[in-house]
Amino acid sequence: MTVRTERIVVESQGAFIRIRRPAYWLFVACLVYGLLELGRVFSPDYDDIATALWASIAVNAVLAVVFLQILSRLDLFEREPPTVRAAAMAWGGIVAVALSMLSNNAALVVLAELADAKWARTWGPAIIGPVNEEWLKALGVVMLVLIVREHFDRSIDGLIYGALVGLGFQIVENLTYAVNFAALNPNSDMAGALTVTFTRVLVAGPFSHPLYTGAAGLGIAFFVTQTRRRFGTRLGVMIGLFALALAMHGLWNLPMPDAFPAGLAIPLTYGKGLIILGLFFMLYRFAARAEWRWFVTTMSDEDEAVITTDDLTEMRSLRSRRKARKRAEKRWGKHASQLLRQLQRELVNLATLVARDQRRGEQRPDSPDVAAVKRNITAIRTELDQAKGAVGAKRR
Amino acid sequence: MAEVTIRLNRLGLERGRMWQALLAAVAIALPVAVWLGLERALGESVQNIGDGDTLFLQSYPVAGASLEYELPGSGWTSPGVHFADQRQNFVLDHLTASVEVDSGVDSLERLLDRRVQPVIAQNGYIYNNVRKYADEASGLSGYRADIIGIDSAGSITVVGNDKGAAAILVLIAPGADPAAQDVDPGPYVATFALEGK
Repeated sequence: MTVRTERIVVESQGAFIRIRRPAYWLFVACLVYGLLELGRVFSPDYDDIATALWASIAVNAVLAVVFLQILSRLDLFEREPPTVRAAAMAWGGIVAVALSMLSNNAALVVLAELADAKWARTWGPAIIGPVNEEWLKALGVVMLVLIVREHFDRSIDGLIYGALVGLGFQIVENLTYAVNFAALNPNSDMAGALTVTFTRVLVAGPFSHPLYTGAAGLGIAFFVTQTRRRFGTRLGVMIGLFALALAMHGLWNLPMPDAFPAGLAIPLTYGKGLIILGLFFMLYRFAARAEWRWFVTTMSDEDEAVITTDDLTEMRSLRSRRKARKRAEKRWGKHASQLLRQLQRELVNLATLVARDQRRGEQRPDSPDVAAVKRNITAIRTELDQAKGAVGAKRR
Repeated sequence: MAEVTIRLNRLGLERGRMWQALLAAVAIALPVAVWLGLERALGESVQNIGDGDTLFLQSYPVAGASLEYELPGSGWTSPGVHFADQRQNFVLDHLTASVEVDSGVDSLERLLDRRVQPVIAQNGYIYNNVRKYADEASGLSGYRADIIGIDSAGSITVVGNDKGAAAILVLIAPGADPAAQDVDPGPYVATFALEGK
């Protein structure tokens, strides 16, 4: 059994709707345009391929849930507001996809006119895809900065929001492929849609748009949050990470040379994917380390009754938290482990709220939501001590 | 809780933030404007098909079948850039022709029905009179149907090699007769060399 905790939500906190922000209305206008454009793509064939499209939506929904789970775990010390996360995915899936389709199609024609159609078809995806798509997806993160700047506290926020923009893009792009391949298949819509959906989910799923845009988003958030660093450094990091996002995307879209045997296609594809994944996790490690330093700094003024030195060490990563819970389970049983999990969650909540108040320059007393989380922590600690005491008494 | 004062402009939006939104709007429109602008500046290209030119198509996404063919007569053009491996459209005066190749085809009759749907959906045509079709010169056989519109008529023909490869030919010309010589698939299918499965 866990401790009943209370939660105070300050009205409009975490909301995405900011009707006084001009960028918000630009976001809305782009969303409307994107919906109309995607409607144009999907609607002519909808009656014919509805079943195949819904089957593809179901498969992609599973992909989305898996990625959302992974992303929520990557976000070590904060849970981004659901409305802002949804807005990020909407930008990627609706605005960026719609505008990319327009730009990519026109750009392919330009390349074909300048070189030839075969060259454009072979090299176009590796050149045009990254340039147009990464630009438009990165602008999704920029739009979020302009609308809800307060949700960009540290560099990792950009990585998370960027990955969400990329995830939205990947899912809707998969659906456009499903629609096209349903129509192309000579025998059945379902076979065409599902073949391409499973291929894209299984082959490109782990190495695709969330990783590229995560890298670009990290750079944007670094630029806007690391204001104590030199302007040139921040700009350099932002441009460098955008270039890295372009390179990752370009590498994935790179055509396999004709001279290579067909049997090499799968190992080569996964090899490229692993390089991209490795680059992403290198960036993530850098961002996660900075996250922990932020956590320690934010919580350093808190009382020992709220957070101990051991807690600070144990909160460093998901792994160290899990280890601490396992240790607790071994020594004091499952109940203590569950309580520790609850405590860790409350400490994360507290850090987010304390950081918000510190940013606003607020002096004590604690704001109502901070006070509520501290009461939760006290209650959990009391229960945890009792659980430890009960086990100790049994052993004696 | 902290309070923040924001100043509004005449539109009721935060003052001093309009330039950010305008800059973002320019950045969002940039790729579309650049590529569409370049595309229009370069103009629409047209590929001229020489008299007796042998043309080639390959099925997609599975490159299991290929088709070599010629277009009867002279003066054919192919509008736009030819990106798709598996299909190409042609125009001769007011006659339009579309040739496509597919692989892994289970049923030629079903393929005819699937390929005629976009044609009738986009142009308000109907199709009927589905019947067997065979071409002795190429050794291919399959099905043919008539396409009828308000001021134009044509044919769709699907032929296969019995191994799973199939070629589709759609011909549409002004007029009301789907049996007109202009839209007779015979001279086209006679040149078809269909390979693969």
